Amino acid sequence: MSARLTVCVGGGGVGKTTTSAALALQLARAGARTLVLTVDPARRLADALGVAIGQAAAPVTICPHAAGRFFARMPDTRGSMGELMEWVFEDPEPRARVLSNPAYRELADALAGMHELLTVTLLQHEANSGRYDEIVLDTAPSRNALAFLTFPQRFLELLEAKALGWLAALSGGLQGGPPSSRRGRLGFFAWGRAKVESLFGRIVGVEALRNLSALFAELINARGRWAELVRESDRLLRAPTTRYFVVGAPSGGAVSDVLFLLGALERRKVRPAAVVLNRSEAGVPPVEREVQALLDARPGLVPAADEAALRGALQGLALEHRARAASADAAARALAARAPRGVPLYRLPFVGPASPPEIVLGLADAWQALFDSRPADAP
Amino acid sequence: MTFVTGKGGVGKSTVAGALALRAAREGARAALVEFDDGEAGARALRGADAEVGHVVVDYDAALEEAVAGVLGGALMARTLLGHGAVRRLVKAMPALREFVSLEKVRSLVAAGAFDRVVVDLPASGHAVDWLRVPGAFERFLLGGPLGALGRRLREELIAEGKSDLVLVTLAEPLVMRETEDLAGRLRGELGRGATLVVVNRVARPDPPGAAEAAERLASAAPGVAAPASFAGLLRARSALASEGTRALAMARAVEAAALAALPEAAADPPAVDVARWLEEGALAA
Repeated sequence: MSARLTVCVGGGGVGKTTTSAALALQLARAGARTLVLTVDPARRLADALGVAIGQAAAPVTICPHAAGRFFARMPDTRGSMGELMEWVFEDPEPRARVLSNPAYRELADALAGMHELLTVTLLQHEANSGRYDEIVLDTAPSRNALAFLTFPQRFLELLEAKALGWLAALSGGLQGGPPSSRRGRLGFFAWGRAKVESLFGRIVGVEALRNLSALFAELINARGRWAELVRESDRLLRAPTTRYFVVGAPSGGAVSDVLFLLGALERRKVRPAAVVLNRSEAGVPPVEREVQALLDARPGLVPAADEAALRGALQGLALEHRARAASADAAARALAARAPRGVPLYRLPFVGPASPPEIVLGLADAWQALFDSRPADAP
Repeated sequence: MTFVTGKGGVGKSTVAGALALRAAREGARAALVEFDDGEAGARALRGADAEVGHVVVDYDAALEEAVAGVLGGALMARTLLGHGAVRRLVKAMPALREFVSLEKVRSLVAAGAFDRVVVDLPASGHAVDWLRVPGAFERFLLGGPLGALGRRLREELIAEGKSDLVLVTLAEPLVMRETEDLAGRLRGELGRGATLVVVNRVARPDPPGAAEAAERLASAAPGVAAPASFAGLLRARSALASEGTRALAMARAVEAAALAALPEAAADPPAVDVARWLEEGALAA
């Protein structure tokens, strides 16, 4: 049985990873075996949750009420390339050829799209493991976060279209002279093609073209595996039970990231389950109001120097609250005006000052309160 | 030329805008270069009091330009890029984006229309990954024209002394640790150090003794719960402030040529303010 998937997307610096971890914790506290899978993890959160980057899923022990049900995995995509190749090339011989191809060695790290492929592979592996009821996917903090939705498909198209067959065949032609020389009759299309080939060879260089060509020939041979990957990931990412949350925070940049991602989801015909506005503070918290009231009501309760220090601290805090609440309200208005009709806006509080695990716990409580007040949206 | 980098949400674009603005105020023809939709730079430069060129790199146009440069003609570039197979290949080869974007920056600098070019690197992926791309192309496409361009990019943009590298970070030990890692990788993999580390959003401290005062208030009013929680809050804030101090000490240890600390402010301060803070050296060590 496949786990139910929740995908959190958002720009950088909005607290998306913490928010995702908190959601996973809340799902675990409610009884579901839950995994949070963080792409491009920050070491700080890994440290805070006690998870080692690059290792298998590990239990997170920050909350006793989720004991045995809350797991986290923070893959190191850089280190997981080998794992992917192992999956794609079951036969060790072509695998070894790919791994030792100079084109692969230089490009594997740099190919950003590979992160997307890896994410999808890991996701699928965990979803089908039968170990979890819920998986929360925390995507890379970027406007391109949704690339993983389409990258496998794009890659497959590349392999299936004649594009790569063409490239893979070039190395043969390269042995003796320019690629086009092996063609005798030149019709118009063949002429155009020969022209493109020679331009391509000119720009890339002969040696590199030979390596690239050999690499793609191997990739094409394994296209059945790639197709399987694409089919499975599409099924998972487009399952009717899969939910997408777009996470933002109160700043102009974060709001425009949310709007961009909403547009990107719409283009892919995916309806978001909610827009989540993190660090969305409402105003001065009760504790500070009560201390203020106490100082006003009973002057002389503490020495004058103490009173001055307390009033100074309250004043500083009030300024912070006012600035944050104003940004939060502005962000909420901007999002409410431009989010698709009927998509709810969840406001999560500003939790702080606190350590990362405390923030995760605080936000998990906020998720719980949110689901209590909106039973229809609850998992 | 200046590369500005940092993880998402640390205020990287605003700092990049402020650096360009500062150069413009000193009379330089300055440009801010970014690779997204240009929205972040436009917001940062709102209300700027000196003229800053704002260059938003369009990937497709930059790709055609780069290929035309290598092949020696726009028509040939269009023929090649118009071919279905090549188009698919280009789409599925994302390191090309970094490469082409850097080539655009190089040609912008070489064109000589600006004295100062500040590049706001994308937040996703690390600066190291971006700046390593020319070297990777150089090694992999050895002997070919793209490989030669890779070497040129490395020599003209990335080598020590050719560009400034600004790391934007926050005054939190955990974020700072990532910045230390980044600085280490820059040294190890690119052989160069940071020019400036900007520690953003350094919290203003509460009045001294406020937490103790709240504790005394709690014992003076035993029936009320709020003062005790308030004392807890103030203690947590003071712990955070001393963490900030510790983070600043870590920033000093990064061995950048310079260090600046900026105060915490409401969301999205304009580049004008940030430029002023940088000039004042605000909280600089």
